[in-house]
Amino acid sequence: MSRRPARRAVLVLAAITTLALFAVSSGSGADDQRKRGGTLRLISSGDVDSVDPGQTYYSFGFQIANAVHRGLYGSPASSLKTVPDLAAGQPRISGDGKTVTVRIKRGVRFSPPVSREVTSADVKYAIERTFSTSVPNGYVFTYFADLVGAPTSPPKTPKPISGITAPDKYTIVFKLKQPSTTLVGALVMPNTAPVPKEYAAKFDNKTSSDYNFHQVASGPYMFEADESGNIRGTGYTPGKRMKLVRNPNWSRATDYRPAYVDTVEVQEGFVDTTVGVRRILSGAADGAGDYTILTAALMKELTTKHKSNFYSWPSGTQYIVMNLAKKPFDNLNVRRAANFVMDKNALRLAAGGSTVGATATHFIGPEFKGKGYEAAGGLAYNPYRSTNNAGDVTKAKAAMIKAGYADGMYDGPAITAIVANTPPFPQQGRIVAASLAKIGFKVNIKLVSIDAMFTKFCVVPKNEPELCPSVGWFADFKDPVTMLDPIFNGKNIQPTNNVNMSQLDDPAVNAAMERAKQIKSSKARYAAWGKIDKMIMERAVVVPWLWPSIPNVISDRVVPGKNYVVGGLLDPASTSLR
Amino acid sequence: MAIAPEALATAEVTTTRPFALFWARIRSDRIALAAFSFLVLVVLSAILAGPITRLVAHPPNAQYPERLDQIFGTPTGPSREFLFGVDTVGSDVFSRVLYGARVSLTVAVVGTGIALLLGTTLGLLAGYYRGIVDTVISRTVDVMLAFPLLLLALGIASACSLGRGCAGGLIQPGMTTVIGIIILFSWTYFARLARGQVLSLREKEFVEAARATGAGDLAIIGREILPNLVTPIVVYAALVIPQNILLEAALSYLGVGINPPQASWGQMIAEATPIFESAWWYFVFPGAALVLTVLAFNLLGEAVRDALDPHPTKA
Repeated sequence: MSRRPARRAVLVLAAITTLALFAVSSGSGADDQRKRGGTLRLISSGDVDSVDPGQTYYSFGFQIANAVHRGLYGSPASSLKTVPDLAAGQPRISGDGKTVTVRIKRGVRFSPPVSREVTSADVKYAIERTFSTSVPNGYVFTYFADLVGAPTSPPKTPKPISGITAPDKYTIVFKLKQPSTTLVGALVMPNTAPVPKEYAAKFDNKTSSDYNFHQVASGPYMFEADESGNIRGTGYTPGKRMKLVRNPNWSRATDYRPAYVDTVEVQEGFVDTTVGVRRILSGAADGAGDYTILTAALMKELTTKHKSNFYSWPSGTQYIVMNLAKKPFDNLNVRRAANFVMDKNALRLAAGGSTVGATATHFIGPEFKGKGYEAAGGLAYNPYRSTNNAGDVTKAKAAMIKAGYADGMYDGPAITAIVANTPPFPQQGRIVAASLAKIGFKVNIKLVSIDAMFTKFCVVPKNEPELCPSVGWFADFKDPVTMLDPIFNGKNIQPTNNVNMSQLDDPAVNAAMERAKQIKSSKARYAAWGKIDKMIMERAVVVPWLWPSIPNVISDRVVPGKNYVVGGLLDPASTSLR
Repeated sequence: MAIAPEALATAEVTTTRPFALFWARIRSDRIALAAFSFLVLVVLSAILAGPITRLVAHPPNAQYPERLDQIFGTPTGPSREFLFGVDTVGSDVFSRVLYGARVSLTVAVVGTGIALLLGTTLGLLAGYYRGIVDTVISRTVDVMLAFPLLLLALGIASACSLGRGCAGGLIQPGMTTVIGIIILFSWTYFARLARGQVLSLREKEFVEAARATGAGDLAIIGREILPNLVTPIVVYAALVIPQNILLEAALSYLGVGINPPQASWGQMIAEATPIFESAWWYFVFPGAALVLTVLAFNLLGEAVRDALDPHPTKA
């Protein structure tokens, strides 16, 4: 079970509705009772997708970026609120909703070798560069497309966007083609973290930017670097290790991050999660970067014997993708049959049972309580209901008969499922195959690495198989738009990096989404997204089966900082040592 | 002292047919017999997996999630209904071990068999014709043997596991990929062995005699050389089969071998390793099946080698 589709990932809190709650000045949220100093030692199975704040789109990448960079908005540890980070206060939205103005704080400084004060021009450039192919970004065309002058296809190198202006050093203005609550919510994304153009342009004006290896920090930590600012081989060796040290130019007075520890070290390559977890429990490491799923046996052990070393964080939706561009899933009733017959209980048990979260009955999950979950029907809305969520063969066969299969059994050619090859994904592939076999399907399971699953197949429409069962989706910020628009809006279908893996392009759904994005009233907007969730389920586009809780293992010496911004992973910027 | 001609005429000359001698030697080797008996059991289990599971177990791909711990989803152990317990999705481990035997034996025997035919043929040609034929085949073998087996196998298995497979679809993901890898790496050893034997055999008097009587290349190879190659090749094949069973298990363990839901011992061991502490049965039964089968093949292979040896060292 993947915790994210490609280039995707993190729960970032930032609801539009909470904008009213923004503190005008956040100041330091540090708890002085907690110990300061020491080294936080993290381990991971693989590397981050990128250390460039404009490129990262995975939970692990966000975990590091949040300690090094400051976006316009963010969220303190253990808080559900979005607060200004680099911003000095809440955004001001014009009466017509087409102009968004953000003031930024004074006195925030870049790390060496730039070492100057951050200005609004740095934020403007930071966003502009993420539209270019040299700084590939997985979400900017989804969340920032309403900017006036935003390119429809990416330029090779960063180009100015007329809809972003910096009238003075501490003001940035976003001009929109139409009112967009989505863009306001997306101001929490790490591509709003400042990048100094005069320093970064020489790296960005290449076919593929290498600013990641020369980056400067605005947050409490920076990658250990040599005198020229190069971090490669010093603070970052791709695939092997990372080392964060304190940013000497960081001012505690301007930041809510407590930044207790002095150093953060990440050792990569602990692929075997069982070994990695044992390492953390023994005290040889303090936490993990990308252990978003553990085996059922480990979950049992952690939740029974090591309660003090474990916490989980509800986040996202796990689902089975059916490719609507291919037979037989181009047929609505076949998709409904697949929804009816799927043994969601078995899928959940294979992932760790009740310890891993609640069985999903639609897409917007309980993490969106008060923000669309109820409007979508909450737990009561279960359009493909079955006893104990174990699947209903009778209803599935009835749907198959409606689809034109005389005896309710599929009689077409075998279908293919591309499944990630590390446990428990293969087991889940077996469960999907066994469930569909009850209505006549023969499913050929192809096991591939999780990277290949995304980069070669599931997000490349021309190579996409009939089924991709190992995927999930996390919210980018606390508005249901981020759960539905990227992955179900037809305009987001791309030849590569296509996160609309079902390839749904339904005019009614697309139009409903565009309408919902422009609703200013948060209550009405959440209700609209709830209805869209129902539209998607009526069309049986996917089989949602789990609203997961992300497991986290910590050592005895750690006082964890739990943060929405990093998807519930251990937050280095708010974790302390005992 | 002179011997009377009549005495010579009545003296009994006792000869033993080669197979009888071979069988007599095997029968006297208890370890070999035990190994042979075990392999017969494994082969029968593989062939009769269907009827056996219908009688005492469950279909290998059937899932019984109600047999999992309903809170944590962990497997439950051996019971009357599930002799070897259940795996991580609630499938019967006993059934999957039986069906796993089919995969292991099919992959190893078919792969080794094709490699034997290919390697022996090429080795025979290289050794018999020498010259440019020998150079081309022998250098190809050298190049193949220079590759690190497991790393290249992993690469090929990964590549052929995607899409429509490799070689224009000839090698499909799953079992045929594994068989292809086994052939790719095993034929070289047979070729080397055959070439070496043939280089020696082609200079023997009986070959020269055949050539003197006007026999052609094909006749010499088929009637004079090939029969003398059978013993070393068969003995070697018996030792290569267990290696290939392990290779299949290794590839499946690493997630690039047999695709689920088809049962494979290596795949089962891979799934069971992280949960060994809480579900020992899931590791122990397929693990024991793999170890005992490989051990039996090795012991039998050695016994066959000893039994076919014209200069036995054993009493």
